[in-house]
Amino acid sequence: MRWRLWRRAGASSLPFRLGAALCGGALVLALVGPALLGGDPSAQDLYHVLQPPSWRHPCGTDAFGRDILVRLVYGLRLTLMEIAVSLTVAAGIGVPIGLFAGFAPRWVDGAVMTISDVLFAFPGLVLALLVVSLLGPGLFHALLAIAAFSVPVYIRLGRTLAAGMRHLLWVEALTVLGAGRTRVLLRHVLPNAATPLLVQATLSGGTVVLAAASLSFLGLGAQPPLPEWGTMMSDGRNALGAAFWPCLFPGLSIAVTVIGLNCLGDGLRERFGAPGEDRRAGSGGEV
Amino acid sequence: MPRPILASVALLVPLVAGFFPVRGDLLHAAESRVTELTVMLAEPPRSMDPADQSATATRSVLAPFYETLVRQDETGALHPALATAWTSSADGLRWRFAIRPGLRFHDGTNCDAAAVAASLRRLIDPKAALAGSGIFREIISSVEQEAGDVVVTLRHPYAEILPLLSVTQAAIVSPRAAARGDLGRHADGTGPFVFVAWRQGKDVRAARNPAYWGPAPALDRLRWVWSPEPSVLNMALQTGDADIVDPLAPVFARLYAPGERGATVAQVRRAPGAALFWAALNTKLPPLDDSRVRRALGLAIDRDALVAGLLHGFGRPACHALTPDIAGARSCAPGEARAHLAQARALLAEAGHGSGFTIAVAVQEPEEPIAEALQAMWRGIGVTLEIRRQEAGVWVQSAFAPPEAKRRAGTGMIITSWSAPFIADLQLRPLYASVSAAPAGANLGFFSDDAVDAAINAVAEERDPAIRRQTLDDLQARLDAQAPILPLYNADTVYGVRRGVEGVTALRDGEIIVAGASLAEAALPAGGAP
Repeated sequence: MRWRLWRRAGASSLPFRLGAALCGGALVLALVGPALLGGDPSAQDLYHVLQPPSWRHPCGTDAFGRDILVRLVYGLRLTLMEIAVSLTVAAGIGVPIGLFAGFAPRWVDGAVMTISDVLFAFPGLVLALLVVSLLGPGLFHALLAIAAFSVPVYIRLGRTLAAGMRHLLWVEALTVLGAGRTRVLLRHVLPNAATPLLVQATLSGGTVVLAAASLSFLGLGAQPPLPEWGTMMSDGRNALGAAFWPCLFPGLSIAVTVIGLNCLGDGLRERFGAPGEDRRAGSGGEV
Repeated sequence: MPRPILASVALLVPLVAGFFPVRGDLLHAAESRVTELTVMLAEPPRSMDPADQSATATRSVLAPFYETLVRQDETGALHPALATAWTSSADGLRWRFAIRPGLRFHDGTNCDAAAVAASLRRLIDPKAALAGSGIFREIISSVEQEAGDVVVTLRHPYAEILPLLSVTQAAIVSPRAAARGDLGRHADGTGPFVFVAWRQGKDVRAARNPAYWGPAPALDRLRWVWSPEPSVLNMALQTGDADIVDPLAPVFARLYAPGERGATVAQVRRAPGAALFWAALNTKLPPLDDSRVRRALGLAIDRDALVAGLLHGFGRPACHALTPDIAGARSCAPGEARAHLAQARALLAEAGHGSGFTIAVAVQEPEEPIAEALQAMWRGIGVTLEIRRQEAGVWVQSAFAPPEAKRRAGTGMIITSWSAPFIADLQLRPLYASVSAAPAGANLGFFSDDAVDAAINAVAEERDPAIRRQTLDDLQARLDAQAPILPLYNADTVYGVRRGVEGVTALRDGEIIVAGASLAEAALPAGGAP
């Protein structure tokens, strides 16, 4: 049933196809790229710095003589890891809180939403900068920071989904039959909320990539010699005007990845509805 | 033509015109007819008080406003400046300076022996606590005025007192301005240019001093602006937003090579620099407390590669403690600047660290590439370098932290630079003497060695060149064996100058001298010279 829906989404939406192709391609490249290309992303050759693109170095070399293509491919693995870690942490914290808030007494719900609104009041990157400055620079800390500003999104989404299902007949029937709140939430509500959460996660992926690259660009995320795309752009900007390739290729990689994630997210949203407007849950859903 | 089309054209013309770079001085030329030179630096000045700063960029800004008793040129030769002649007592303790007659400060007050003595007394006054005055307080015991001369008395003989009195910190300031207390914001000296304004975050402006005692400057005005981004400095040189940019990052030098488009608008000037880049190792933190480990780290560095990759050839590898401009300085022996990994591994194994270890380095953004290069080089001997890039304020706290704080933070290494051209004592004492251990001084690795301390004092007091040279040689050999600091390279002073700008020079410490600059006819604003 679900697979058919995915196929229908793919058949009907060009952005979905483009996004799926880009994201699928990125996954494959991250898996097999390093083995295909070989090379060490940290191996320097200071006697051949800032070499323009050539057959030997298709994306040129950076200010340390490192092959930019090799670093981009290893950087892709880092990027996918960033998305996975940030979203897992953000959804892992935000969704349970939101779901329970949706089923909780009104004052608990109000308190959770107020806290979530306070977190929303901070611009995402500013909140991330605050967290990183407290924890110290580093990729893991940067990912926690990104997760921190994504948490309220998942709290609100989880709460909206749970509150929408709370008074549906099948939920009330479960309660009458004696199912506890935790069981109802985890065994029945959560599976029905999976699709909007997946759509939201896909849409957030692009934000994570941009935020991680921004923090690394500022020196607060990945530390040398990690081939993080934001760090690579930061290194390359000092040569802008004399060599375009150290900035251009990481920038393009970020752009293509974000476009892919956004297209995929848009395609999914078009088919399944915006997060928080789960049609299947509203029409009865799967129990 | 229909009205909408006319209106569109009228709107488009100024819009399109705005896309084309037009030199600001050309726009204002017809009305002002003045010659102004714009210099773009990498950082703003830190103070207008010459004694209360120690930054190269600040010295470049202050140079046209102030003068010293004696002046040192780019070759190290000394010339009379505010003092016309000088003599010293046989024991080298009393120095008498004859002050040039008829001098005036920019505020109109006389710059006579009394004013010069007052300015120097302010420099050594511990209550004034001026940032650049430490070495002067250690050496000079008193300054007196005697019959139109100034007499400087030293605590102990100091062979390099004249070069020391030529540095910017010893510049003579107006006692009236100093008493007013606003010297930090408003320069007031005797130089060829008069301070006009310092707009925070924007620029510093100066105008020609009509009452200057020396040759009149060719330019009417000077203006300094700044940007920390190397690519912005390069663009400013290309578009003409700046007539001089200092520094021009070496990566951009090839854009101005003969035959390149950039060569038609500007040229790159290169002067041997005294800026020594080095890594201070924390000698109180294991395993860096073992000199064999420190030497091994030094042996694993390919200094030739650092110069080739990070400086694009604009510098020289540094293998020893002293910069090449100091008489008696050791230079790298053939092959010495390359990495010697086998020797390094053997030394580490001998010290019991054959399997490697991890150290952390605190570094500011401009020096981070050095750390990244060392990180890759030391992987070859199993040493992992953890790079901690820090903002200026945080870095100063890390670098100048006392031993216990550095141990807690695990800070094993600091990378920075030091510039003290021609004066061996200023190269050695702040970096290697026990008394200079952080937080009091720049001995950031807390190195302490009685023999080195004694040799530093001997060099400072010895006036016989042959004995000095021998003492310096022994001292460098001892420092090579102890390796508390790993010298990396001497960076050249690289700056860009627009075509038509003449008379700009650079001193060994990287200071750019623009007071004697002029604009050739072709570079003058429309309307010609005033």
